[in-house]
Amino acid sequence: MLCSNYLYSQSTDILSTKWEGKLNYPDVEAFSKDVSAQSNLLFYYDPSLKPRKIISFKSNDISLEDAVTSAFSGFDLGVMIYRDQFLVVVPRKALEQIGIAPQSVSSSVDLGESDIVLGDYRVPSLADSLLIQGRVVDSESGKAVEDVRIFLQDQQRGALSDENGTFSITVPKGKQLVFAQKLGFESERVVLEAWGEGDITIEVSEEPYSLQEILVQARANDASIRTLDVGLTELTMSSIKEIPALFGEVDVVKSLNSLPGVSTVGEGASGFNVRGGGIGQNLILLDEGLIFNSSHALGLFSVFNADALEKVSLYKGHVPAQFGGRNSSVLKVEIKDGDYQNYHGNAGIGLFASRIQFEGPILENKLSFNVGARFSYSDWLLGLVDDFDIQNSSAGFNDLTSKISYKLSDKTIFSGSWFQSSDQFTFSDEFGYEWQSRLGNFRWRQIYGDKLTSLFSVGTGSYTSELNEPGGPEAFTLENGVDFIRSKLLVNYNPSPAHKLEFGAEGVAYDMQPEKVAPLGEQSVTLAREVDKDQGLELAVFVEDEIKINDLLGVSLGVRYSQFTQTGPGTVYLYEEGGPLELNTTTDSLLFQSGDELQTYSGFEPRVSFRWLLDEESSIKLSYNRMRQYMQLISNTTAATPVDFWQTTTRYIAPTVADNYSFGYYKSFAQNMWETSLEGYYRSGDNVVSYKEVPDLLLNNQLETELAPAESRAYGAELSIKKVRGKLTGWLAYTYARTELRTLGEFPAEVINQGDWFPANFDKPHQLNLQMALKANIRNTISFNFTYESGRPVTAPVGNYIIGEQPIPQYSLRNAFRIPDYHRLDVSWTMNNGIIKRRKYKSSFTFAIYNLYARRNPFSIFFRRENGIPNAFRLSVIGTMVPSVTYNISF
Amino acid sequence: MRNFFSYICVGCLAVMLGGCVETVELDAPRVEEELVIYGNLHAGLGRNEVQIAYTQEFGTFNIQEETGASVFFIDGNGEKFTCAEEGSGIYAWINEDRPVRPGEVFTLEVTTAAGVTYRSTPETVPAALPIRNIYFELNDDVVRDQFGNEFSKTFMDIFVDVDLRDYEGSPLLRWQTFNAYTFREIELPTFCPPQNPIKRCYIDDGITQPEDVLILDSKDVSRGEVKGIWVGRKPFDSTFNDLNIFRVFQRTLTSTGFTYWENQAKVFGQGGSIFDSAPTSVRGNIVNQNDPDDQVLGNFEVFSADTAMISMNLTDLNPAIPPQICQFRRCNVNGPCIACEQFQNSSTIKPDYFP
Repeated sequence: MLCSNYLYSQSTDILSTKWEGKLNYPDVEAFSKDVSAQSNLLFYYDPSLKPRKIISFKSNDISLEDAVTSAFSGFDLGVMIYRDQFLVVVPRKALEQIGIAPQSVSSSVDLGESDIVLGDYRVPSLADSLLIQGRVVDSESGKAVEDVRIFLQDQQRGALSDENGTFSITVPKGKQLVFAQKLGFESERVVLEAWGEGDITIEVSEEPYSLQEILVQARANDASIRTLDVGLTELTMSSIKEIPALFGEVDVVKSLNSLPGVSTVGEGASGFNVRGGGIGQNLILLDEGLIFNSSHALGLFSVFNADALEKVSLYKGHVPAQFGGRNSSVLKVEIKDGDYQNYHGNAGIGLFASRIQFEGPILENKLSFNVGARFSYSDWLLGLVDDFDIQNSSAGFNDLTSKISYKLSDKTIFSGSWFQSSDQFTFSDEFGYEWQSRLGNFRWRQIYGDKLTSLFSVGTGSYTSELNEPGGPEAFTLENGVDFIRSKLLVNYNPSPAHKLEFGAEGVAYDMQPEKVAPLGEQSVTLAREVDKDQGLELAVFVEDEIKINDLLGVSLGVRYSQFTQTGPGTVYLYEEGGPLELNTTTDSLLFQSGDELQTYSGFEPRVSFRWLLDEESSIKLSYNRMRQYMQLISNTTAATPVDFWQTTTRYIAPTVADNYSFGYYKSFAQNMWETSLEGYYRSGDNVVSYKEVPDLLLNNQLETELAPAESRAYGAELSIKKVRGKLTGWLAYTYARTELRTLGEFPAEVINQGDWFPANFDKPHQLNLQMALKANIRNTISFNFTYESGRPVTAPVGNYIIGEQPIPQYSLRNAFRIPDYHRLDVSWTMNNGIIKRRKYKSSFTFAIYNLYARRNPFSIFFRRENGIPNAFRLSVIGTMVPSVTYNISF
Repeated sequence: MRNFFSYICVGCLAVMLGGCVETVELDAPRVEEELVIYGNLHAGLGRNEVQIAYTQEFGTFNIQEETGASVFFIDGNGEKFTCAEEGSGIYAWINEDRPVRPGEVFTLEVTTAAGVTYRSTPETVPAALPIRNIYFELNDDVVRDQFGNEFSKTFMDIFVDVDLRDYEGSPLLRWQTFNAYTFREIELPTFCPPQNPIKRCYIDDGITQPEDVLILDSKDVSRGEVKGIWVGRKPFDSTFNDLNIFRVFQRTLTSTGFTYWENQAKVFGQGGSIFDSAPTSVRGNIVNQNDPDDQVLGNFEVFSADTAMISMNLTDLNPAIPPQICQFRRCNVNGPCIACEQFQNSSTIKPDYFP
C-alpha cells in the first residue's frame, strides 16, 4: 500500500479540524462514513489494525485526527492523505520509516475515470453483488503473479491470486477502487466500474527495492491464519537466501531443516525427515516431475538451483488429495516461467561451486525461456589437503534446470521443463559413487471462462546410480535405477469465492532397472550378472471440495482412491506355508510374462481439514489424512546412499499406510508483525519396511526374505514464533518429536529389540532453531542461524567376546543409546552493491561462517580395535568452522 | 584482499581435517552377559575345539568360561563324540582314528552346567579347495602417526591364487593368516650381556585383524583362476631380520558358516560412516532347545581347510630392511635386553610348522 510513488500534500488543515461527528458509533463502518463526510476523503485503514468494537468519544473537542486514531486500539497510529483521495490510518512507525510526517491533507474525493468497466450501466445486473473473475500478471513479463492480495476499499472483501494468477472476488454494483498488493511489487489501484459480472486483468510491477514491504508482508501473513492447510510452509527464494549455508551454497532442502518438524539424520546426510517420516516417504515434485534423490555431494547440498525456482512448498500436515504416493510429506518445487519481455539473470561464484541462471523472451509476450546451471570444482580443494587419500579423491556435481513457456493466449499456456543432475564421488582408489537424475515434463494450463481451470502434465524421468570398487581381483561396478512416466490432470472449479472444487486423475508407470554387477578392469574375476527388478502402475483419482461455510468456519473434504498393480515380467517365489520367508523355506516360483498382473493393491485415502477463525488474528485447524505409499526406498544405512534403490510393492511387500492427525493453533500479534503457531501431530504407519539384522539387500531377487514386518508411530508438537517485519526478522522454532518402530514378526529373525518399540535412526526428541536476519541498512544484512538437536539414537558396543582369536563386540539393543546433543551457530553477512533501482545489474557478496564456534558435533559412535584393545570412537563429519564467500550478481 | 581470500581458502580446507574421529568414553551400562558358543569341526583328523564362555564388559578380556558343560559332536548316524573339558572354557575332541569326511553331517550339542541344552543346525562338511600359489609383495603406503604426521612406510602384502575349477561346485571361502618370526639372542650388542645358553626365539604373531574378515563367495566370480587374493599385511620392520614365515589357512565353509562371517564382516566394516547400517551382535546357528527365540552368540563352523606357507630370510628380501638402532626387536639400547620368554606367544622350542 505505501509505495514509493505516493504523492503527499503538506497541508494538515483537515486533520486538525474539530471532530464534527457523533460521540458514539456502533461499529467502524458507521464511523468511517462520518470521517469521509467531514474530510471529503475516502476513509481507509489497514485491515490488520483492530478497530474498537464500540467507538465513543467523551466530547467533540478533539481533532479529526485524534478521533480517527482513537477509534483503533493498542497502537501508535498516524494519519496520512494518500493521492488526495484517501484518508489513511497506519502505524506511525511505518510513516516514520518512509520519512514523512503523519499528517497530510488533500481535498479531492473523486475516483476519476474508470479503468475497467464491466457490463452496461444502462442494463445493470439485478444482483447487488457481482462475482468478478480476474487474473494478475506481471506488467513487464506478462507472467501470472500469485499471492497477490486483491481487496476493495472497504476492506471487507478480498481475495488472493492463485498460482495461475487468477482470483475471484465479489464486488458491490457500481464504481469502486480495487487494490492489488504483494511483497516486492508496487501496489496497484484500479477504478472498477461493475454493472455485470466479467473478467478483469490487473498488471503489477515488480519493485526492485521497497521500503514499505513490511505492510504488504503483514497482509500476506494472515493467510496462514485463514487458509485451511495445517502444516503448510511456503518458502520464497529470498527467504532461503537469507539463511547462512555451508560453503555459501544457497540450498533449498537444507533451508527446510530450520523449520519445525523437519530434520535430517546428521550433517552430510542426504534427504530430509518430516514429522517422523523416512526420507523415502517424502514426495518431491519438480514441476510435477518426480525426484528420487534430491542430494548432491552425498547430501551436503540439494539438487535445486534456487535462482531458477519460483517457489517451494512443503506440506507436512494436511496434504491435498491431488498429492499421493508417499506417507510423510510433499515438497513441491516449481521452476519459474521465463520473462516474456526482458532478458535478465543471476550468477554466483563460490569457492566450491558456481551457478548461473538466465531468462528472457524468445518471442516477445509469447515464448520465453528460463535456464539455470550449476557446477562444482572442489577437486582443487581436495588436492591441497595434507592427506594422501583425500588428495587422490575427487568429488563433483552439476545440474541443469530449464523451462520453456509458450502463451498461446491469456487462457492457454504450454510449458516444457527439463532437469538433469549428475554427481560423482571417488575416495582414493577404494570406492566411488556416481548418480544421475533426468526429468522432462510438459504442462498445459487452460483457463475456461471465469470459474474453471485445468492443468495437464505428462513427463518422464529416471534415476540411476553406480557404485564401483576398483581395487583387487574382485573389482566391480554395481548399477541400479528407476525409470518412470507420470501424467496428471488437475481441474479447478470455483463456483464462488467461498467454494473451490478440485478434482483430477494421476497415473505413474514405474520400471525398475535391473540391478547389474560387472567386472571393473581386465584383471577382475567378478562375474557379471543381473537381477531383474519389478514394474508397476500406480493410478489415482481424487476430488477435494473446499468450502468456507461462513466467515469463521472453513472445511476441506477430499478423497483419493489409489491403486497399484505390479506387472510382469517377474518371478514370485513361494514359501512353506506358515513358515518364515527365508531362502531355505522357498518351495517354488511362479514366472509371469510381460504385462501379466502379479499383485494389485488399492484403497481410499480420505483427506479432511477444518479451520475455525477465532478472530481476525487467530484460528485453529484440524486435519486428518490417510496416505498410501506403493514405492519404498530400500535403505538400511544410517543415511541413505546413492545406491539405495526403490522397490515396488509386491505380493510380500504391502503398501505402507499412514494415518496422519494434525492440530494447529495460529495467532498473530501487533498487526501481524509477530506470527505464532502451535501444531501437534500423530502419525501411525502400517506395513512399514524394516530389515532383519544384517540384511543382504543388494542383488537379491528374494528381497522379502530380508525384511521384517513392522509398524511405526510418530508424534510431536511444534511451536513457532516468527517476526516478519522490521529491521530484525526471523523465527524461533521448537519441536518435540518422537518416531518409533516396532517389528511384528512371528519368527526370531524377524524380531528386533524383542518386539518392543524402539526409536528410529532420526528420532531426535528436542529441536530448536533460531533464525534471524538483521537488515542493518539498505546495503547490509546479517543473518544468524542457531540449531540445537538432541543426539540421535545409536547402537553401541556394550561388551565383547572372543571367537577363535578374534575379539568381537557385543552390541546393545537397536538404538538403545544416543550420541551427544548437536548444536551449531552460523552467521552470514550479505553486502549489496547494486541497490539503485534502475541500475542494469545488482551484485552482492555473502560472507558466511558455518559452525562458528567450531563444535565437533558427533555424528556416530563406533567400535574399533586399536593395538588389540577395543575402543569406542566418535565421528564428526564437519568438526570445525567453515568460512565461505560467494559473489552474486543479478542482471 | 588476497590475504582475505587466502584465509577463506585455508578455512575451507580445514573442513576436510575437521571431519574427525576421536576416542570417546562410552558411558554404557553393563548389559546382561550372554552365552557364547563357538564350535569348530574340520575334515580329516586332528583337534576340534568348542569354546564356551560369556560376554565380558566392554573393553576387557577377562574370559568367563563355562565349566562343567557336556559337549558333543553328533554325526548323521546319531553317533556322539564327546569333547573333553580342557579348562578355560575349551572343550576338545581329538579324532585320531575317526576321520571327518566331506559330505558327512554333524551337529553340535552343548548342555551347560545349569542343564540348558543348545543344539546347532546340522552342517554338512564341505570339501577343501587347494591353494595354488602363495607369494608376497613389498608395497609403500602413506601412514599417519599418533601426532597426525604422515610418512611413507613399507609393508609386506601376502597374496594367494586359487583355481575354482579345482572344486566341484562353488566354494565359500574364508582366509586367516598367521605370522611367525625368529630372532637370535646371540646378536646382542657388547654392553648387553648374552643370555646363557644362546637361543633362537620363535614368536607367533597373528596379523589378521578382526575388521579383516577375508571371505569370498565364489558364485560372484567367474569360474577359473582367481589370482592375487590379498590375505594379509605386515609392516616391513625389524622382525624381518631373521627368518619370517606366513601361514595362510583357507577354509571352505558351509552356507551358514559363510553367512555368519559375512555378517560379522559387515559389522566389522562399520567405520562410523554415515553410510553404515546399524551394527548388531551377530548370531549363528546354535539355538536353545527349550526356547527357539534364544539363539546364542557364536556359531558351529564345519569346514575343510587347505594351508600354505611362505618363509623368507633376510637375504631373500630386497629392498633391505630399514636400519635398526637395536638389532633385537623391542630391545632398548640403553636398557636391559629382553629375553625370548618375555614376548607373548614366544617359545625357544621350534614349532613343527617351521622349516
